[in-house]
This record gives sequence, structure tokens and C-alpha cells, in this order.
Amino acid sequence: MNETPFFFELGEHRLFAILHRPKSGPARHGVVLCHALAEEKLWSHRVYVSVARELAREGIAVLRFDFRGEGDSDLEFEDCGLASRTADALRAAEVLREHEPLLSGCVFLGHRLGCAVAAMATAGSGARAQGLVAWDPVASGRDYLMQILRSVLASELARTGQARTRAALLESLDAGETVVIDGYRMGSPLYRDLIGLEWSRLLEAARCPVLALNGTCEPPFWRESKRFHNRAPTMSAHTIQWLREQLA
Amino acid sequence: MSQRIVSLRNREGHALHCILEEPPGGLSRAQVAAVLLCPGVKTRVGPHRLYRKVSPPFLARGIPVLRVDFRGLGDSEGDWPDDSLAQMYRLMELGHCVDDARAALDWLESQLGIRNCIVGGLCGAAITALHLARDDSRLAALYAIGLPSRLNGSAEPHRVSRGELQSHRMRYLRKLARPASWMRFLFLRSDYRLLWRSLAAKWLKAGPALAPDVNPHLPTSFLALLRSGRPALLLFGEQDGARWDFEEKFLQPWADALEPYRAQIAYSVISRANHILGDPAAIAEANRLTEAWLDAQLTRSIGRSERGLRSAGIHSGAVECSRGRELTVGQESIEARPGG
Repeated sequence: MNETPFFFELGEHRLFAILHRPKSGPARHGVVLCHALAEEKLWSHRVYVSVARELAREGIAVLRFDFRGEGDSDLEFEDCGLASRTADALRAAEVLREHEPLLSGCVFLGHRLGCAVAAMATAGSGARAQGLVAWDPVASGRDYLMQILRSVLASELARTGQARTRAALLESLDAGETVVIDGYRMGSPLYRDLIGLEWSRLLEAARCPVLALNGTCEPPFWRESKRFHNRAPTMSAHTIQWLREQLA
Repeated sequence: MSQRIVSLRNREGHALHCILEEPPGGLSRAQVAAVLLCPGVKTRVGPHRLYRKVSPPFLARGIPVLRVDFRGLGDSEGDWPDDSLAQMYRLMELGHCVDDARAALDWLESQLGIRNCIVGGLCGAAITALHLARDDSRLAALYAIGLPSRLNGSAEPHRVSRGELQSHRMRYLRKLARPASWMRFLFLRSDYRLLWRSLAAKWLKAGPALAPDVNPHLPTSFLALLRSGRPALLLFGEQDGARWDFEEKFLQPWADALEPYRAQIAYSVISRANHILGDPAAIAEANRLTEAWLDAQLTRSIGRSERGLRSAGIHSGAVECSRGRELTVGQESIEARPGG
């Protein structure tokens, strides 16, 4: 395997990344992978590794990286929102081109909330964005937030026997306080971004070819189940086929 | 924070990608390292980046922290023979990843000259470290959060501990006043088996002392660690089922065997915390306990070193701790808290 872990820099911060290269010869195309949020990312991690390896076998260079506030990258989770994640993805695309100078652009592949980041990064990349692949995008940031808050309330109830209301949690977030979700502190930046997020609007604004795959073609590998998912065979196959056609 | 990537290879040739966090003074004076292993199937950073949050007590004392991805997990190479989560946990509990942990210690010894390591982490990491303790003297101390006592995927049915049943009973009693809970009950959405067992447990007799679903390697590995004079810090969340398992299926039945080594065991239950220490207050308490434990261990080793007995290192301090039969900071009695 041709895989190189490294840190790249964005301002004063360092982000952890792994570059997957084709085993031999220069890469014909490039993909930047934008992961899902928090624990969804951890449960999906091995799927990302597998798809990156499959794409590398197709002659495509893939840059996987941790957004700031997650994994091994700098900053705390509560300090980061969609804007910082988009800046991370744009910088990751530059880094990919630095490592693979023959590439004129790249495709952004997002998963769950990472789809929104990937879409915003394509918008910020202009002509260098060669495509957007979205794996089970979060359709409404507000609905997603409400689901998250429901899980906060359930865990508070289990822990203390009593829980605040969802309205009280929203008030706290409105007041600039943080709310703890499975150990992650959600702060104002992400909260405000989620409230305004609509996938359909991002999709309408896209100026490059788009492949959007809904989550029903795979078991929900981004959350805990009885199986450990290390591949998403259907999504990967669709993605590879689409990339072959688009980038031919 | 100063981090660098360490890519090492296990015996089978898989590249294991790890992160080394360096203490503020650098690595040159480090004689002890902390090695935090992959917790279950989560990556080297742990759930909610737990391992980043529990590193400061080590770093502040000049101890570098190596976070290790096991084979087939995180970014590392390799695969697992099974994709059932229960079977993967079972394999880990039986020591599937011990060689990967050993590869991390080999790297620390060959590249940094560090032979004394505090090894462990959360859940599967802690049990892997215990397996390693049996035959690797470079493991100088065990650092365990939510150490699992039970063997997953066992043919024996999971016997819920009495403490856990009591905890469920209290939860059900609190729900009596909640209409939503009654709706769940009436619409057949409750776990009636657990409800019945938790309510009946108060009147049922205790089961046999040694639970059939306990990991058979736990007593032998734990006693091997203690008999060689090495200390253990054991942290559990108050609401972690693993805590009741550990107390009722190991500490209580094995109390006589453990008694001579009581001074080496620092055992603490963190109030209102869950298995992954998902609350910032739980992390703060875990770090406070770790600081006190490290200071006690390091002070003893430095004392020995100054007297010219041995080189400094947490291991030598642990030997003295055992001989002196002192209580370790943060410790609760090992016969403590009856489960029911």
C-alpha cells in the first residue's frame, strides 16, 4: 500500500492527514474526503480507509484528513463549525495538489455532515472542483441538531434521572453556552451553522457534476450496530463507476 | 501540544500508525512513557477524543504519550477475522492485539531508549494491557478506564451484576412519575425481562461467587501484574456496568488473593460518570486521580533513585510501594461497596 500519514498546516494549526496514492505511476485524478461528525466519523472510519484504498487502486490519489476539532487535528471541537471545516477542506485540496502536481483539480467526497462541507468546498474551489460526491447527506441541519439534542436528553436522563427540555438546551446554545453530546462539546459555531443548513440549497448552488447517494443502499455504518463495518460496497462501487465516467 | 506521527510495524508486517505526544521539555529526559491503546474498535484517539483529554497529567510530568492504532483499526493496515462486534470484542478480550501493543513498546525501547511504560486506556485497551503484563516486564504500571471483566460472545448468558440491577431499579422507580415511561410500558416497548430482574433482585439470593461469564484471563493476568510488584490505577464510571462486573465478579470473589497486593491497587469510581467518561467533570476527576497516582508512584521511584538503589522509573517505585504496604492515593478499599 502506498499510504503516507502526515500533518499539514493551516495558519498556526496542524491537521492530520493520510495520502493514499496509486501503487505505481502518477495519480490521474484526486479526491478529498470530508468525514462525518464526531462519533459518526469514528464508526465510519474504516469505511473511509477502505474506499480510499479502492480509489487508489483505480489510479486516484485520495487525501483523508481530520477536520480541526476532531481526530488528531488541532483545536477543540467546540471551536469549530462548518466554516472552519470548509476552510480545512479547501486547504486539503491545495495540499493534495502540492503532493500531486499533475492534478489540475479534485473531487470532494463527503459523508453525512461532511457532504455540506464538501459542497461548500466545491463552491470555494471554482473551476478546480471537478465533482461532488455525497454519501447520505444530512438533509436538514435543524432536524439533525434536534436528533442530537434528543440523544443528549436521553443520556442526561440515564445519568441523573432527570433531564432538561430541548427548549432549555436551545436556550443555552443561543446564549453562547456549550452542550455536551457523547463527550463532545457543541459550541456556537456549529450550532448556528446547523440551524441554517439545507442540503437542497447547497445542491442547487453546485456548479460541478454531482453524485448524491442516499443512505438506504447501505446498512447505517455510521452508528453503532452489531456489525463492524469496514466497507460500504454499494456506495463505493457507485462512486468508482461515476468517477470513471466523469473523469474519463 | 507537540505531536508527531510514528508508523511502526507489528510482527506480521502491518504498518500501525500511532501518534506520539511529547511533553513540554521534549523527549530527551523521558524515562517513562504512557502507551494508550486502541479502545475497542474506536481509533487511537478514543471516543470523543478521550485520549487527548486524559494525556495532560502524563505530559505535565515529562511523560510522553503514545496513542496506538491496532491492526485493522483506525488508519492501520491489516484486517480482522470477524465483523461481528461481539466477536471482535471477544477476540480483543482474549488478547488478539497483544502483539501490536508489544510492537509499540519495542519501538519506544529501540527508538527512545524507554523501557518503562504505563500501558492501558479505555475498555479493550485496558484488558489488552493486562494480557501484555503477563510476560512483558516493560509494562511498569497499568492504567485502566472501564476495565472489562466479562468475556463477550460467551456461550454463558450475561449475568447482570446485582449492583447494575440495583442501578436499573432506581432508574425505573424514578420513572414512575413520568407519563412517557408508562406509555412505553403499556405499549410493550419496555424491557420487561430487565424490569422484572431489577425489581426481583432485591429478594433473590446472590449467585455463585465466580461468575461463569468472567474473562478467564483476568485473574491470572491481574495477579501476574501484582505479584511482580507493579501498580495499577483502575478508574470506573459510577454508571458503567463494567464497574459492577469488576467488583462482583472479580474483586469480591478474589479478595483473599488480592489482599497482599492491596497497596498496589488504586481503585476509584467516578461519580455520575459513564463508561467513556463522556462528561467534562468526569474527565477532570479522572485527571485529578491520575495526577495523584502518578505523583505517588514517581515520588517513590525518585526516592529510590536518589538513594542509588535503581534507576528512576515507575516500576521500581511500585516495588517499594508493595513492600511498604502503603495505600495508594485515590484508593478505595478493595473489599469495598457490596454490589447489591
